[in-house]
Amino acid sequence: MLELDSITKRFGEAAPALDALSLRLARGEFLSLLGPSGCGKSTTLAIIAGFLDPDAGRIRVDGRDVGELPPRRRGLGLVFQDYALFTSLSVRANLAFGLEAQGVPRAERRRRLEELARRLDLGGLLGRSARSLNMSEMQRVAVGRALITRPALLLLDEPMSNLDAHLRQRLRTELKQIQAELGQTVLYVTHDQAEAMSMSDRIAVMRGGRLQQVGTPEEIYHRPVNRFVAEFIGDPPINLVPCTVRPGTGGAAVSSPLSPASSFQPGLSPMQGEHLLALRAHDIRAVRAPGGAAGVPAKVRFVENLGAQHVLHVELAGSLVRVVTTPGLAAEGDTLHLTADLAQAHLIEAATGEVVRASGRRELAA
Amino acid sequence: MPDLAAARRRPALTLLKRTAVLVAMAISFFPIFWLFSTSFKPVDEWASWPPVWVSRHPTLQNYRIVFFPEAARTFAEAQKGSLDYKVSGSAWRAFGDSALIATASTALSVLFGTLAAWSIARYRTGGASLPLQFLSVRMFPPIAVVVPIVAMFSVLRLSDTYLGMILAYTAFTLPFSVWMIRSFIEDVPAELEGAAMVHGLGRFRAFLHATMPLIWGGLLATALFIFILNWSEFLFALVLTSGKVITVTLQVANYVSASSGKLYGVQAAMGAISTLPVVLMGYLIQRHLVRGLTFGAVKR
Amino acid sequence: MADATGAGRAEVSGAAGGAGGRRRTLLPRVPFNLALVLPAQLTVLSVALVPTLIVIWLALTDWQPTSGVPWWRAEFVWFWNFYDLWYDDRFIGALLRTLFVVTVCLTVELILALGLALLFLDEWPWRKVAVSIIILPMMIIPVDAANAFFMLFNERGPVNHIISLVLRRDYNFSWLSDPRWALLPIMLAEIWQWTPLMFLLVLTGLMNLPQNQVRAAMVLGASPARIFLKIMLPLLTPVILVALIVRGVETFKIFDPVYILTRGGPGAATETLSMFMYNGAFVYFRMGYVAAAALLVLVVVLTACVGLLHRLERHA
Repeated sequence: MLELDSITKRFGEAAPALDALSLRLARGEFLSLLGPSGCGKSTTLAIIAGFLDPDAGRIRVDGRDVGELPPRRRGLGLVFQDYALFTSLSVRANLAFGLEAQGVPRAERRRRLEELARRLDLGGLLGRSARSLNMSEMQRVAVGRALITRPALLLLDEPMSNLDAHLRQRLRTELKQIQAELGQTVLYVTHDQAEAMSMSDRIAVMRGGRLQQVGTPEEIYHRPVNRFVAEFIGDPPINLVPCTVRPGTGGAAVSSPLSPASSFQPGLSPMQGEHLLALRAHDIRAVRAPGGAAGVPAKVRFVENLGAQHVLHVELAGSLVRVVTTPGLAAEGDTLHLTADLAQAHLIEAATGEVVRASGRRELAA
Repeated sequence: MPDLAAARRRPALTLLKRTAVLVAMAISFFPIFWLFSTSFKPVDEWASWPPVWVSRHPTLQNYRIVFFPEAARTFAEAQKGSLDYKVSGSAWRAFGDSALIATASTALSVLFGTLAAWSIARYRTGGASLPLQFLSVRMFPPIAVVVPIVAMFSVLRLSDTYLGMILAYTAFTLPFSVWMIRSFIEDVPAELEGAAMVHGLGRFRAFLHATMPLIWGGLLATALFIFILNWSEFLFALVLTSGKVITVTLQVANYVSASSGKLYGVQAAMGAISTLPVVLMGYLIQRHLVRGLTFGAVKR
Repeated sequence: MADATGAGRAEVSGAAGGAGGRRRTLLPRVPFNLALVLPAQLTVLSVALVPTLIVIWLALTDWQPTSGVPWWRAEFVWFWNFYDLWYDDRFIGALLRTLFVVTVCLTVELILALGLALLFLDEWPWRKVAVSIIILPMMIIPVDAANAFFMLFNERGPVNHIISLVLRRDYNFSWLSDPRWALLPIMLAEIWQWTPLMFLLVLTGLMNLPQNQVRAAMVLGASPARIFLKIMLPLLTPVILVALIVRGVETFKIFDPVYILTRGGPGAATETLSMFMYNGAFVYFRMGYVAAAALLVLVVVLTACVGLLHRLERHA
């Protein structure tokens, strides 16, 4: 129901903040705009809301071109990063503001207020001044204030970045539940990939004003289209090791420090230039004793203790590779033997960053 | 909000807004224009009907009268019979006296004010009441204290003296100086002085070396601000002097004639010249005007 | 405020109160600090406090300098001055007139300032120039501004000229000689000179408003009027209060325009409190009486200020 058609925005002489951005959002969908600072996601939000005019392109809500409409006529809801509650008003007045502004009759206002207070557990806060709330209370009121007007599209600008990790987890589920209950269409802007992954129906990854990839969390995680997406998604970050591709009959052989024994990839045409092998920390098996099984030896340089699992940083061919293991497997200084699960690896062309062979589609044969 | 795209959407409204701004500018400028325009008018254009908006025979006569007593006397003789007036010396003395009093008083005010402001800002000297004491001075209608000051000065033989005026001006601008400088000092974290003291500097030297360099601009702005107040002051000058000391604000009132009342052209010339310095200073400290006039309560 | 500990150790404490921001005490207080404020305090005390005490003394006497008696030997009349003041139509008139002037000037200045400031919210090429011109009046020496207005409102001045053009006949009204209208040029001079200050204050307040609150209100569907009344004005209240207090006190003391334009005349038609006291002291030489009036005014102004400052503290 939201359609961005080739939106371009420039600030001054520098490279455009948004470069022919096109995106579609279906009704009831939860879409995250994910990307690092400066990638243009907040600019996109500002343009959708109507605070900025694009230099080129169209914005359509439910088929209607809203580009000429001021923010208040676009039928949107917006939750700011700093919540922007009306500090001179009470919580109740904050919540009712949109309804009053739109001329909703008093009985209906009261009804919606009560319903919302129940749903978001705001009952006890209604009489308080908006200034006296703590962060998570403010966030709930901000969301409530935006939802109460039943907007066609709800926009959220990194609403959780002010909260601590524990709170974030809790509020993620709450938000997702409400969205599902109400069938609310949501466009969620964030730089936190875990957040996007856990809440979204689809994710749109942005960088430098351009869309890198749009897809479900599963697609984005397992089948990234380029190096940036592969590196940005997933915790711990994906490992990238240099590899060589040598021509052979009917294909090419790929070898890398992680898989020194070349594995033959049928149908892979030999390619020029350097390549990288991308493999997630979960897809590398590590064992202590060499015992029969082959494996690349690597020394453990650093252990990250995450409680239920450990992330070991091991030294391989001059750089550090991350491996996820069960706790207690190894300590600093130990030597481990690594086996890579090549079926999960992607082959990336170093020059362009494009994934030329991804796991799942055309699997790298182990 | 500057990033609103509204200007592009409603050109008619924008035009209206800009026109309103132009009208406001015109109203602001008009009396000043009239003052300057009148200062170049010859005698016959001062109060003619219909009034002369821009002189047809602009002259520097008024300015000459202001600055050169001989020109004044010549003028008086030329008009003998229809105009007569007293001009106590040329305006040079008024400019000199005003400059002396304003400068000395500003220096004292800033000096005393800085010491007091530092003490109050860092050490909370005098608690909450001391700063308010200074503030309360500003709330007296000057006319209320002028009578006893006249009485006091006559006993202390400070009437119609430079010292008396300087003291009076200093006392009444101290509230501004203390509050403004205090707000500038408070903008600088106290840790800087603390660090300097750890390095062995005494309290005051720590202040001089750590904080002062950062508030120079503010001190200068305060000084200019107070200078403007002193230069423009009228009531104390009117009441506390009787001829030996004269300020530019009083000098304007001297250009009156027993028969034809105020000498518009000369008063306009005097006014234009004497107001020019403070207008320039005002623009120099434009950024700090708000802070000054609200005693540091409102900052940009 | 004994939060003193050993000397030489920098201590940071957060304390509340007062306009302006975080408070940090650097070191325990020591006589040195008092020495620092001494010059300032002494000057103020001698030129401001001592005169106030003298005013209190004088208010209880009937000192008339022309009688040759020095003020410390003036005849004591106790509270008769206050009694006379209460029944003095001229004094009451001056008081009411001053209150009227303050109310009218403040109201007009505030409304104009608000309206003007709203015009300056967005950016356009000559915005800076516009601000510079609009604040020009407040930088003119008040006496010279008053003189300018004297010339403007002369019977044969530009104001009458413009009115004549509109009415198509010669209009030579003598504004400053008419007891019903003489107050107008005075108030206009005051408003002209000080609206720019209110404008600057309000504009500063507006520019410092949290922009996101305004944007949030926009998205929620509020009209510009609703945003202004319900969101912006409440947020501006502290700044507006400061402006009103500062300008209110100064306007109450109004003297320069009155002296220059009318001397309080014709008769006592434009006599404000300051003018009343000036005339009483330096024209009629009844300084004891004037001192009593001064004392009353002092008390009223201080009480009002304290009250308004309390109101401001609550908002800040």
